[in-house]
Amino acid sequence: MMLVPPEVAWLCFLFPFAGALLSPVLARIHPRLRDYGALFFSFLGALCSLMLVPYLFHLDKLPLESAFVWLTVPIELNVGVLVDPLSIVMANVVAVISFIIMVYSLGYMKGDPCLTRWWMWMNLFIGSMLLLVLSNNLLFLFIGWKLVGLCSWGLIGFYYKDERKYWIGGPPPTKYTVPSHCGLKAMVMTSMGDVLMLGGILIMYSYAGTLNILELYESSAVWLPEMAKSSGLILLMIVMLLMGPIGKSAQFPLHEWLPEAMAGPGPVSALIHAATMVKSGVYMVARLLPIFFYGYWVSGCIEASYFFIIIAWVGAITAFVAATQGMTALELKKALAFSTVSQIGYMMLALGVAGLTISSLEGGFTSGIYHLFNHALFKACLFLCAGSVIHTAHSIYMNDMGAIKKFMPFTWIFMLIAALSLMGVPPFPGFWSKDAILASCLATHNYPLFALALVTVVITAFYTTRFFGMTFHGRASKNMEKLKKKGAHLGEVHITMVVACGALAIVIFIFGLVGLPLEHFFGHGFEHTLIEKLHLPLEHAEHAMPHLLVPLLSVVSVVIGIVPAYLLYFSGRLDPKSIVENHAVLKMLHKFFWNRWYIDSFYFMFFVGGITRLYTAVPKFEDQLDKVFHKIIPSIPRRLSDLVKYLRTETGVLAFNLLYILLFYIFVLLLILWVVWR
Amino acid sequence: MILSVVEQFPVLVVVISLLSAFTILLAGYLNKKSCCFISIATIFVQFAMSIFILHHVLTKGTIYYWLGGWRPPWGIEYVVDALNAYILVILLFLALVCVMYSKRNVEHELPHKIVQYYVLYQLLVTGLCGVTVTGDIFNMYVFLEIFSLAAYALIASRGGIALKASFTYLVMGSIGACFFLLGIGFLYSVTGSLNMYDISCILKTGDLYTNRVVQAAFTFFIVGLGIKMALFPMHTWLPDAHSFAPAEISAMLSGIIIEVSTYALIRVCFSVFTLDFITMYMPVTTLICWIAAIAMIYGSVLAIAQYNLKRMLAYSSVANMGYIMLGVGLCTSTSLGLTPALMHILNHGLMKACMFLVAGAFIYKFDLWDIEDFKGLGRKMPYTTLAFILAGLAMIGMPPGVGFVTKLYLAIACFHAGQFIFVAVIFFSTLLIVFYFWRVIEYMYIRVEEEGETAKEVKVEEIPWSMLIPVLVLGILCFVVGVLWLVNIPAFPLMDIMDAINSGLGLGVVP
Repeated sequence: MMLVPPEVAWLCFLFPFAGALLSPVLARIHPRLRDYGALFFSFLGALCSLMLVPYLFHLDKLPLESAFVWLTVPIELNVGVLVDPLSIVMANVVAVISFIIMVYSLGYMKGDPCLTRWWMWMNLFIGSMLLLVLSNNLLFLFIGWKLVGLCSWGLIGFYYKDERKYWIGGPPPTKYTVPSHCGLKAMVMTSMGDVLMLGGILIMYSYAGTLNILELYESSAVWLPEMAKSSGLILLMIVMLLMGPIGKSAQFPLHEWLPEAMAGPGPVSALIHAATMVKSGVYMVARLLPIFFYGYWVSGCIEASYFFIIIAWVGAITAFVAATQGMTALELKKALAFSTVSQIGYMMLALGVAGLTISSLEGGFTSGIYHLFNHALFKACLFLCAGSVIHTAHSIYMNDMGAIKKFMPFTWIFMLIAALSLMGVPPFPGFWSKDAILASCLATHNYPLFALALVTVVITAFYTTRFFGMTFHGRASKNMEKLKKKGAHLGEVHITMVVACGALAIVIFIFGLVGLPLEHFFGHGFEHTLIEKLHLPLEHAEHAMPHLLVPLLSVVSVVIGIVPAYLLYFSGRLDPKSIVENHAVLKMLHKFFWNRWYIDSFYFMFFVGGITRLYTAVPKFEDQLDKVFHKIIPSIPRRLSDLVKYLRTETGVLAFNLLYILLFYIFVLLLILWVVWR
Repeated sequence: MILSVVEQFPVLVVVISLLSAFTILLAGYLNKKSCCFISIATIFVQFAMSIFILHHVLTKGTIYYWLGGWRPPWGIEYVVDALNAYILVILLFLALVCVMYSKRNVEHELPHKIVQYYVLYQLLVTGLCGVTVTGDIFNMYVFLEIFSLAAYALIASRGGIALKASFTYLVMGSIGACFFLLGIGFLYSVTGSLNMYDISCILKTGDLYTNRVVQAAFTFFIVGLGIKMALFPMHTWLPDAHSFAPAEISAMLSGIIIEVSTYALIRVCFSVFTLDFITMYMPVTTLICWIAAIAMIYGSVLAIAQYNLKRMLAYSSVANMGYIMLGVGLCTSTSLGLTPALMHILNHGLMKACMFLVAGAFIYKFDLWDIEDFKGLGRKMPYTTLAFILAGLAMIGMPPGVGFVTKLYLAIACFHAGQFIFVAVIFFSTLLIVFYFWRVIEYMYIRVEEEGETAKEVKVEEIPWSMLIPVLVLGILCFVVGVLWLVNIPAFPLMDIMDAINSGLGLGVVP
């Protein structure tokens, strides 16, 4: 196989950036040119990242860097790209899936008046995510990171005019939320994590003296022990560093922005959930992981272990919390959003357990990234299908759908494949990676984590069956009846949308069949980088448990989850509403989950309410402030120039000018005499 | 002594400029239109030579040229090292841009004085080049006077109130020159030499640093050149001179003439007197830093109080001289050496020349002087105002503009030197800069004359191409050069020049 030079990695993100810049230009020429042009640039980006794939078969050549010196003063900074198995996998997930989503959005956004803005944001989003995953230093990673946040703001709030039809939330008594609010919420919440992460990076820089990722790995044996001398500092740095991924990847306690992020158009949700944005946190954790693994297991810095403990527990708790909320969601995309939060929790859990014992490094790392890969595929497919369904049903609520299968047979089958993968039904890809995560979790003998993960499998199966049943099966809702009566077009949507969903579904199916070899391939790649290039210690796990235990447990859990959901939502024999109404405990739980564990309400009350109270206090001082800012401060230059007039320095009267020269001369002379005679 | 071609260039740069001044005088009587082209051609040739000189200096080392074959210290010697060559390139580049711009502007403003204008302009360039290339301190004085006299005449060329401004400058400039000459005389009385290198050797070997006369001479140099370069309390000639001169002359005054005087000061401080003298016997660096800090604030505050754009820019020049002098003052205590100061000479030249030329364009087209009259200009002259905005943003310090680079490096130098107070001053003066430049931009773009105006289609009335292109080139260079400072591109080794200069002067190593 031909290997391309590593410089190609530059093109991966430069092409989408170019696409974003050219969109307005192309729009001037012809709208269609703009649409296809944007698509073309994201295609080029995807092509370039695909060209990096052959490197995975030539692991000896990795990791590769292509960099140039950007700054020498005040600090030496190289700008460059880093090509290693992790970045290759990430870049392909991002670029290829993004391209498919772009194809889909060609149909989805057809006729929207703000398409230029749309294509610019989308290409910028893809480009910045690729910059993030391919950058070879933390500074540019951070720039990509913030750009991703900015784009998410622009895209979630794409319908910034907040028309009634784009509201989400509800139905009453639950509040509605407008898209611009959702965009802002995402921006503010993730930025909170970002700022802390920047702090963490700076702490790291002040000890390591470099921002280059490879150099950080190599020198971690030196600076981490140095840091360990001041106790608590590593822990502080770890917490600050992790807040970034926790915010960006919507982990507990900063997970509350993601459910609202579906206020944007369908493809945006798919992009955020599947390919960009939320995956960046997982990537960041995986990037930092070798440093702390080395620090803990080789250099013996005890504090470094908190990295793994924190991330494992955060992941497990998030997986559980979000999954429970997914059971009650009424909006189709919101149910999917909760499921994303929950699945990202799994990835974090896997990366966390990678460092809990010395032998679980390869298993945890591989299963985490492998799950990321699979999740990107099936979640993109689910969101795209959901977009199509919503397009047809003209409603975001699942109880306004029902029995859509007969109208949209293709979408049904595509979504079924993706949903089975999400549940973890063999032989779909989700099964393999989830199984690997459970196995590596069990291998660390951390049973509470394992139990939490297993319970989440049950819940996942339940809510997946629920939303699938409520959408495609069961009884047709009143809304559907009404639409039918009106003679609305009920059927498959625009051809590009169906093709995009279909392509993803087929890919999922194929990857499911080769799931186990693929996992080993990934594992081999990561093992090579981690162990041979970075010299992390490796001990192969001894399989204390029988091989079949974990898959068996996993399948049984899935079945436990599916059965009640099938009875409730597919067959229509039982009425879920009356069951909930009749049991006080269930009713309470439903309310608790429906209100999202009251976390969101708390945040809103505390932060938004608190700040509102603060600024309502300001008007009392308005007059004084106004006086200071609009009268006193602007009058300073004028006063000074009055003073100058009084002193006659600037009048241009020669006598005074000469006087000042004389005074200055005398001043200098006296000063020098003073210095000399001192 | 066999010299290569390039080693002849330092003297040629001066001589052809001088000869062309007389040629213009003769040719002008035959055909007025030829003046401008002769001037452009000469300066272009000079500029090309200066680039060869710079290249030669960087690759092969310092150029020494003995005038008439007389050995120094008896004969006049021209010495060009990296510092001279760097200043020479900037100077001739700006002169070239300004002379291109001047073609239409002079025809419009001084239709009856075209010949005289170009003769004087050429003499101005001669003087500036002479100051830059010479290695003889008396020769430097002579050239200083040549360019000053040319500048007095050029400032006065518009007549009327400009005459008064020019007279003020004449008197003060002459006093400055007197101080400089007195300093030379004092030094000569002690050392008996006029060659800079020779003087510095005699001062060092003769242990003359503690000599009162030498110290008095140093004071004279500081005050004399301080007047020429408009150092804070002696800047009073500058606002009038800058605002009443023709646009290109304002650009030259602000962009390079005061900077060449700064160069003279740096040369005197570091080549005649040495680093040891400045750090051990005559610690003036702290004084310079504080004066610079005051100038930065004072100039900016007064700039805010101005209504006339050119006057505002003039005060901004006072503030910017503060930046340069802060760099000079800090140079002994930071490993960056003179880098911040020298980089700001280039940066300020680009920005301020661009702005003065834009101000000249407004006068050329609509005879607008006051900022409040600029309403709606952004739509009438889109490209000119664009250049102004580029330069303004660079001045404010938007990365990667040149102003940002200067401020970054100055701040780093302050941190190196441990003088945190000056970082605060830089930030504060930046705030003031935002204030007064944003006001201009606001008038040009945001405030429109009346309610109905916005809807109306505005007719674009741009200045002629020969004026627009220099302005735009300068505006764009404000950002290109900023990037070149930050990114080290082998074809434009700005940082290498800085390193060469610092090592040549023995700076850049923190004791």
